[in-house]
Amino acid sequence: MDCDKLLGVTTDIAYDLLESGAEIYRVEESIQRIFAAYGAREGSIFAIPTLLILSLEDETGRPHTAIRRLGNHGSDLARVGAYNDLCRSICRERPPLEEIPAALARIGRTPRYSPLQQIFAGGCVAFAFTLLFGGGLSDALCALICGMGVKWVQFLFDRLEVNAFFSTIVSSFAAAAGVLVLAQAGLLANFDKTVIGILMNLVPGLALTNVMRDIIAGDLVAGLTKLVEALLTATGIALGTGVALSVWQALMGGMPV
Amino acid sequence: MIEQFLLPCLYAFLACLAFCFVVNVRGRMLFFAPLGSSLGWLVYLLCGLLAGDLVCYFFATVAVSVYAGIMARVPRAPATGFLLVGLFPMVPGGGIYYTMEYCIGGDTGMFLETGLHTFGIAGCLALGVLAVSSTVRLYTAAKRHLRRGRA
Repeated sequence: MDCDKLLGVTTDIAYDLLESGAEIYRVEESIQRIFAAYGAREGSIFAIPTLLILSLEDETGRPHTAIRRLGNHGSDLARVGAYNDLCRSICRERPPLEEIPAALARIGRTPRYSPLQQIFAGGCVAFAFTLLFGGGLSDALCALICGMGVKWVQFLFDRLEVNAFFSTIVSSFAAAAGVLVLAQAGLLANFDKTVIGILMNLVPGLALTNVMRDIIAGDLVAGLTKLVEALLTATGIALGTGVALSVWQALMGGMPV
Repeated sequence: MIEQFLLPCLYAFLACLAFCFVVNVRGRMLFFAPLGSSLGWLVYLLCGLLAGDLVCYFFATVAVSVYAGIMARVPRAPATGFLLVGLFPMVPGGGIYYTMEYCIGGDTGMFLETGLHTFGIAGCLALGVLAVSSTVRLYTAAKRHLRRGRA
């Protein structure tokens, strides 16, 4: 068994899994299983949302270690599923290590929905949530437009690699500002329902659902990191909309509806 | 009846279907993942007839988690996807907004109350996930234990 090769391959798998938004315990368990399948001695992995550490001992007992940092990670559920299946088949069939990078690359090339589709989807999220929370049809149509705008702002900031906190503040500012303008034009019946519908595009859903799953599995550090992420995002949303509303009130002397 | 239960579940389905395109859900999951969110919202609405809204959030989360657990076994897809999409309508976006509104309005009492309530909702979601996945872990561990005892 080539220790360095195994270490390299497993680091890539762990990185790809974590980057697609898999839970910490899923990453750690998958890698442990692969280590066991290839008969590695003393294989360990430690993962938190921003860092991976893998370590293996070779035949002479010398430890080999790999560390990799992660920046932003999105959520791509199709890829989490695909990488998960790949890990299972690796454990079952134990293919030669040389074949695995090609399989990883194949999953990495699977298509995502285009930005245009995602922007439209963001608008539809806002549309349906406004209806769900009790807004009327005119509110929902305004939410559709502003929701697409917010998603576009998010894409723009992602491309410019602005940090997530600031991007959330600006996106939610744009959401509230857009709705204020439409409300001033007399197109809205429920101001609050519309804004909330649009803000659902920004809420920390993934972080919130994964916090508890990480903590139950005993990954306290990872759980805390995600908890802070969720709190920061919520604060960012409140800040962005808050600034928009206060500025409007100061300039126009009251709310439009 | 339709106004009260069916339409909201339909809206939840549509919203989560759109959300699926943002988190790159594909294939059969495009139908089954949003279905979980309608199920959760239906439980939320039905509980609302009997109890306060924090209890509703808890039971709705339990329903979604059980659904996610079952779906993770049957069509072999990670439970995270079903959980993420299914719990999405219950993430307290409204709570965040109203907390902020009271904060700007200078109403400290309501600001604190709404803020705490928002935390409460998030806590209920977490507790629901905790209850179900701990039970599942306990069940699998017990089954393994029993099998080993017999062998």
